[in-house]
Amino acid sequence: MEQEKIRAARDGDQAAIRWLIEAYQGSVYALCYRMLGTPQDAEDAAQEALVRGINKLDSFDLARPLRPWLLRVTSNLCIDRLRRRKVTVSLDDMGEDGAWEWKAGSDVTPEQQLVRKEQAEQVQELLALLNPVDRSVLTLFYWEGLSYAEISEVTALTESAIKSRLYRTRRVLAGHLLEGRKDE
Amino acid sequence: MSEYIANKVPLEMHSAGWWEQALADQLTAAEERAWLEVEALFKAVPVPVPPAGFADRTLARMEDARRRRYAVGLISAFFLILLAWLLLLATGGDLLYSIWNMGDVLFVSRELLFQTLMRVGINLVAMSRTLFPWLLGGVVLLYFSLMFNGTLAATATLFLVNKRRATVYLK
Repeated sequence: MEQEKIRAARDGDQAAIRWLIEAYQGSVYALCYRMLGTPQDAEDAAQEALVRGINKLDSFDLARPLRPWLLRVTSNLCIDRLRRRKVTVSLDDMGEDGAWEWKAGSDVTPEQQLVRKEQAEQVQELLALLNPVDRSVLTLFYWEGLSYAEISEVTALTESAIKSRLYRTRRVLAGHLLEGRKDE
Repeated sequence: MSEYIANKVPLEMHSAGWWEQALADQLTAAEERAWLEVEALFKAVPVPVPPAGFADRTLARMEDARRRRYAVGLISAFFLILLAWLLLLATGGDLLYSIWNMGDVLFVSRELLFQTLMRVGINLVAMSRTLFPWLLGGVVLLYFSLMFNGTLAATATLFLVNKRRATVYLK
């Protein structure tokens, strides 16, 4: 099914291209969001990654799964953007005065939304401590649910290097949390 | 860490057991607890989902990119051809001009010859009606001899038609 869609997309079939975008937009967007930290940047990067991926389908080996390949394109794009990026401030969900605003019409209560917002901010704050490659490895491991072998395919790192990076990452994040407590 | 690992029970370095052994003892108890908190936080935070209309906007962007590539290709090709022409003119302008002139001269002289022959023929016909078949024959002969390719084609056609007829009759 997927291979047929990929072949059709290579020939420029719009329905097949839409199918591929809808099938992988979740993974690609989530990785971009975790890597870049803001919805605006995530949407822009995810769109560019999908456009690049679909335009490069001719070079894709049909015998392999598409998801790791597409995530590789996305991860490389995000790493490039992070390396070029200057310091930015997220204005997401903020009002004119810069304060966080509750979104009306949501299923969860304002309190729950606030907690989620704080958790999301905390996660992004922790991710911001890591270099782009470690951030990518961590995101692929914890949120994309990829195995070491799949992460190796995405990042072009060896499995040992991935384990080592994950270990270092855990230590950095745990250390940051402990330091924060000492300061309090 | 390498010294520490070297003193451990020997295990294949790429095995999961090696990593578990290496990492388990490396985090302090406080770090371990802090890390578990971080991991719990990772699990609690919702997975970001793309906004509504994301696929439509991506498709529109893809179409824009395709059009832009096409336009850039077209403009590049135009400038490339222009550049090639300019280079050709700059390097071999005189030669091109001579070839152009030669072609012009050939074309005009053929036209002049044809017109002259027609005038002479028509004048002769007007002067004497008895010479008309001879003159007509002469003009046709002259025309065919000047138009060698045409004569050849006509002869070949006649030959092939006759040959085909002969084949049909033989059957």
